[in-house]
Amino acid sequence: MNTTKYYFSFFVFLFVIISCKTEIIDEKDLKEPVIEFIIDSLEVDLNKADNHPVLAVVFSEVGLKQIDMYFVNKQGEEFYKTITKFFDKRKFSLREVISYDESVTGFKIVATDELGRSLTKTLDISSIPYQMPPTITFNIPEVKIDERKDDPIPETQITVKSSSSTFLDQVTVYLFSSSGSTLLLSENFEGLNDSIFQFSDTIPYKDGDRSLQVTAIDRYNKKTINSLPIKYSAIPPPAISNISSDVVIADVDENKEISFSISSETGIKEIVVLKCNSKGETQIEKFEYPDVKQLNFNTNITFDDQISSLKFLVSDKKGRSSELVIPTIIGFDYIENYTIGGQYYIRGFEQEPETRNIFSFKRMQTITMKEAYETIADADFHIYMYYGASGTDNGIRLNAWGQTTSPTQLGEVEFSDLLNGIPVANTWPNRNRTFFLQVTSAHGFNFDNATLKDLRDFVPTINKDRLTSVPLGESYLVKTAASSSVGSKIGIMKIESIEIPETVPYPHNFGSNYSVKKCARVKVSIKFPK
Amino acid sequence: MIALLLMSSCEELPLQKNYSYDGEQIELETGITAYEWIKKRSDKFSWMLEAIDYAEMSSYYMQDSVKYTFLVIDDVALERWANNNGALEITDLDKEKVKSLIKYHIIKGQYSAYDKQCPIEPSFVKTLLAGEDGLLTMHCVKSSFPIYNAADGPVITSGNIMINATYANGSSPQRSSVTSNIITTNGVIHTFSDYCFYKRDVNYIPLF
Repeated sequence: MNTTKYYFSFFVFLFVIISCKTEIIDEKDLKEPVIEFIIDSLEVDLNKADNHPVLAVVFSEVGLKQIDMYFVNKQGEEFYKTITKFFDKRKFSLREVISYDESVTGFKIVATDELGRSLTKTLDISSIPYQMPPTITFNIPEVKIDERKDDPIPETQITVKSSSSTFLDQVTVYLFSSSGSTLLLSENFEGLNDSIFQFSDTIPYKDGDRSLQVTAIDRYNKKTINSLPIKYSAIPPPAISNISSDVVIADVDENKEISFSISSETGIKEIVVLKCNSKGETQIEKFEYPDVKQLNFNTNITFDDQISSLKFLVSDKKGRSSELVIPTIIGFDYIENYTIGGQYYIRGFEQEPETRNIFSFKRMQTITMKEAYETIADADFHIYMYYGASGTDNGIRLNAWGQTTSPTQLGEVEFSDLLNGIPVANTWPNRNRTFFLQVTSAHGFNFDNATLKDLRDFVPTINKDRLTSVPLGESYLVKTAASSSVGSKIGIMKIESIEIPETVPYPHNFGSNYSVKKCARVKVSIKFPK
Repeated sequence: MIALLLMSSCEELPLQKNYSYDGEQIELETGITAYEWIKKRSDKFSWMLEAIDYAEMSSYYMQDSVKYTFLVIDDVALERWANNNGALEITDLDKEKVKSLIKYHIIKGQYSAYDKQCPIEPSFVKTLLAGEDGLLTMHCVKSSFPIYNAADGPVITSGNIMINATYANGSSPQRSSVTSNIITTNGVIHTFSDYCFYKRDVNYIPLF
């Protein structure tokens, strides 16, 4: 019975085996591994950073077991790495970023399949050796010039050479001095195969020059920078001292003496005196000296109404020169950086007696409201500070004391002192209606170079009795009213500074909530015809 | 609940009918050579066919003994390439130039998205074009995230074949397959709407 069971089982098994459609593949019939280098041989340039890696594809019909890699060099082989894990064991893309050097002559790959069959293939690698960057040499170790020894300016020779296996790409030469750098030369060698560049010239070195810097770049983008030091010992230009006056203030046709001292190492050659104004410069005197190193210079000059400054050009024997400019105020009453307060100062304060609100051209100073009320013809203009200003409006208004553009302003509480019998200002009779005009470049002069003649000859209309948002640094023509104590004249004024304190400086009796802005102090300079 | 009962009582809904599902296996293999497939699709690839014949490279597309991956360019792209090179027809171009183009578009080995044949990261493969100009990377796009482009909006690219992915092969432009994984008797075909080429850097002048 058991034998029958065994036979039955055997036949069933045989039947199953026979029934199956089988395909038996002998792996030994499959091909051995194949190594395909993507670039068949590599020529690497050791001067470049972007050489190709070793690239290969390894095929195996059976499946890869491992890949071994070796550097090949003149001494033999050096193991690099082994790979045993493959995404697709039938194909492997090999990419090895290796560090090339001159000794490496090849890269060997040994591919072994799962049947243990191996194939070896070596990639030939040749290399362009590392090249030195360009060299830069000078004919002298440094440029040394001493004006006191009358040293000549030496010839400068520059030689630039590239290494043997490449060519120059660019050479630039900069002269560095205390005032910055100047490009003297820029040679581009694109398209040329020049491995040497020579430069020879007498560069006019001068006081303040520090070094000559040469930059050379070769085709490998290798750069060399070399500098030639410059030691320039200069004789200083003439020194001017003991000036008699920083500013000359004089009447028209007044004669005044100007004096100063000069010292020069090489000797004073000449002094040229120039008269300056908004139209330009005119020579009025010239003094020449044969052999003088120290000089106490003085000259008498008659000032006319067309001088805004004097210029003295002092030259030495070496051609160096120094310049002295003396501003002149001719025919003007002049005040400089004079403080006019906002309306807060209208009655004057004991603590700050020099700061008041109303300006008088007759007195060339500010006056209190009491003084103005007693002599209304003396009050020409005041500064009104608008506390509600915002944005680009700085709040400063130049207001004629008799302005009619905004008549309610002078009706405000601070423009009266009823306890002392002074009514509100807009009720005062015969107030001066002063006019203003901002000076522009079209006028041909500015505050500093405006002469008396410029103002007398001024033609355009000046007819604004109130200017708003008066900015710092601007200048204004001021035309006084015929009713003014000084009569109708044109002067010029510059806004030098604006100060707004953080708190109200002193107690006052103008009422509560008094704006700090109204306490502003504005400094002005004024030239007003005598 | 009452309303629901009333409404459901208004009309008797018919029962869903049975139907039999006839399953059909997707035919992956065309059973023809790459050459025959390109010829069959001459509506889109007639310029490619002409270029293969003109460059005398048809034997690679016709043979059955070695597996290759064929990158097939459509007519619009090849006409544009010819025009850019100053020609109205492929046959007006220098034969060696056309040959270089064709060689660059034939890769040794079968790289399809099936059976892990194609790498999933950009990997260098061996084209028939020798030297540096033959450098080409390919990979199969695995991400399930769509790529957005201005013209088409989200484009599902999973399974696409990407050639010279950006930054993987110098400054070579990236190309993505239009139709991929067409299995022929001599390898696999991926089709493209632009031609592929190698460019080392921005100043490099491509071979073709």
